Parts: sequence; C-alpha cells; structure tokens
Amino acid sequence: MNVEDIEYKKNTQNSINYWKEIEEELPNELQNLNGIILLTYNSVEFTHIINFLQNIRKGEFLTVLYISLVRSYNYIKSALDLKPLNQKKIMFIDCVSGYAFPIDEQIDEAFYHKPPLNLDEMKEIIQFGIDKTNPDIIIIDSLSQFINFSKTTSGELSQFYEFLKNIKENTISITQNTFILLYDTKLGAIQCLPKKNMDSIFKIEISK
Amino acid sequence: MTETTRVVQINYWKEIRKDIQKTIGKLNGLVLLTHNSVEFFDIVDFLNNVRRDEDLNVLYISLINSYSQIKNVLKEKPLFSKKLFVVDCVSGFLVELQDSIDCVYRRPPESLEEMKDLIVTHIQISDSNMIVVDSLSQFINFSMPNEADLNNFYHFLNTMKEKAISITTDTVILLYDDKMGSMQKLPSMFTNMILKLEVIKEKIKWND
Repeated sequence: MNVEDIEYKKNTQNSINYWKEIEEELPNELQNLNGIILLTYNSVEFTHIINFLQNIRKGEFLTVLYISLVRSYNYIKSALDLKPLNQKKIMFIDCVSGYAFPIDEQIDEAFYHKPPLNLDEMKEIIQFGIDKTNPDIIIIDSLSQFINFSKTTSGELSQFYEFLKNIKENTISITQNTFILLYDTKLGAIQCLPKKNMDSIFKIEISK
Repeated sequence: MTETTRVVQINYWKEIRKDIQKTIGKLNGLVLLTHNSVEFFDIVDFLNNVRRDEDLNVLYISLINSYSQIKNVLKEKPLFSKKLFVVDCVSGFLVELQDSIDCVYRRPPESLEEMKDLIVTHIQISDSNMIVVDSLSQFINFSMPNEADLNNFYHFLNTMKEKAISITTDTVILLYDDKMGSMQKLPSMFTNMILKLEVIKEKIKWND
C-alpha cells in the first residue's frame, strides 16, 4: 500500500452492505413476511410496488392500511383497478389530497388527512389508521418525505431509530405484524442503510 | 420529440447482514459478486466470511491488483484459513518476474475463452478448492451488453460449470465492478447465486 492509500484509509471509514439477488426466492421471502420492513427502490412505477405487495403473505385475506404521502387515493385507486391486489382489502389514508378535503364525498375505504410534518405526527396518523381499520399490514409511502438517507445526520438517524423502536413496541402485535416502509432513492444513493430495529431490507432495482 | 423508455429488467435484492453466515458460510457453485469499485481490502473481508471454518486453497486470478499489492494488503488484513495462489496478470508486462510457490505471472487473457484456459490450467497447479476471478469487468459491460456478448458470457459460465467445478473445486467466485453503470442484465439462470457488495465510504471528521 502506498503513502496515499494509507492516508486515504486513515481519513475514511467504510460500511459494507451485503445484498443477495432474490428473484427466484422472492415468493418464498414474501410469503411469511413480518416485522418492520424497508423497501427501497429507484423511482419505480406504482405498478411495480403492487407486484411486490401482491406476493406478500399470498393466500391470506388481509386488511392493508396504506398511508400515502406521495400518491393520491384517486391515483392509487386507478392503478389498483388495472392491477388488483388479490385477497387484500386496502384502506387508505391520503395525505396528499389532504388540503382538498372532499367532505361531501363519502368513501368507505379512504380517509383524508393533512400531511404529517414529522415522525411524531406520523405516529399519530398510524394510530388513527389502526383505530379506524384494524389492519394486518401497514404501509407508509414513503419515508423519503421525512428523511434523506443519502445525507443523514446522526440526530435524524437517532430520531428515526426511536420511531422504529416505538413502532416495534407499540404497533407491531400478533395481528398487526407487518409494517412496510417505502423509500425512494431518487434523492441519492443510500449512504447509511438503517439496519437497527429493521427486520428486513429489500431493494427493487429497475433498469430502463 | 418525447423520449420513451422501457423497463429492461427488474432486480430484487435482499440485504443479508443477519444471514451472512447462512448465505456465504457454506458458499459453493458459481457465484457472481458485483461491487461498487471495492478495494482488495474489502474483498479480503468478504473472503474471510466465505466457508470460514474450512482450510482452503484459493486460486486467485488477478487482472486488477498485482501480487505485490495483494501481499501488502494481506500483511495488514490476513486471510484466515485460506491459502492464496495468485495468477498475477497485471505485472507480467512490467518486469521479468520469477514465478514462486504461491504466485505465477501470466499475460492478461484477451477473451473469456483465454480466461477459461488460464483457470483450467492453474486449477491443478494450485490444488484449489475455490477460484476467484478478479474481475470480469475486463471482458463484459453488463450496463449495456449486446446479444453476442451475453451469449459469449453464458457460454463461459456453462464451460466453467463443466470444466472448473468439481467435487474438490466447488466454489467459483466471479467479481464484477459495476462502475460502468448499474447492471441491466443479471445472469441469474447461469449462476447459483448473485451477490452485491456495496461499500459506503465516509470521510472521518477529525476533531483537532
């Protein structure tokens, strides 16, 4: 190793992520999926997320609470009309159209809410959704609204881990046992993969 | 004019830190290990986790690092329970170097066919249980492969399965640096496993 290499090594620290390609094993991996799951992707279409969700606990009749911070209920509904999520009943909390508040419109499967400004408010929305829908699976779309893993400060990261710990202790239960956090990597490659308090991490990589 | 794009491939990855021992502790077959320009230092880390409880002879075909660089790194970060036999295809042109008990100097192969010959020739000399080829990036660019390149590559993989893998030599690890662009085509059908090593380098802030 030359002097420059040694100097470089002294001034940098590495963290290593190991990934395994799982296309063949995907149905098996998702069949019994539970715990807190992070699903990262590179700006995929919503239909690709539906594909992934379709395989989760296939064969079970489940209620899914979908808390959307980036896509409106109308948009998701149209996508699901084209590509239905078999055997899963989806209940929405739409935090995108929140300011429009279509109070005249009674929709059984959707609630409208103002977008949460921080993770504490997010917790309140999750609790609101649980009280209203009693879901088996909870999906947050997406974390990118709160945290940018391409340049996270240690403060933000501790706050995020605290959020996960709280979910683990207070939200995950025998019935609500799958909690999926979506994260779009369009803000930049993830520098710090949040492994603490996370049960599984998946990545969907689309080549166009 | 509007630019249209189409999805070429969707890759699903799972982060495997928790299952690292289960996944690579008994690794065998034909394995593609892609990485983001990791250094040999990080490859040693990986190799230390592969079949860590076994005493193995490793045939290391290097097209990237010279034997002297490899030796320097190994002084600082030893390879446990594995004896390396290096085919150095880097220093061959520089000076006249004498082959030794754990290294031979050879001209770099110009094609996958030559690479296959180089491997097959040195399996017996090194009495290897494991083969590492560093790296395939010299021969194929998976970010934009053409049909002919892919066929040629698949043919190489098949030949490796037939000619290199045996009862004694049962692990072949092919390294691929994806610095040319993310991989559009993963050769899942022709390999036993595809892994990705993602090294995140962070500059250390020294407090004076």
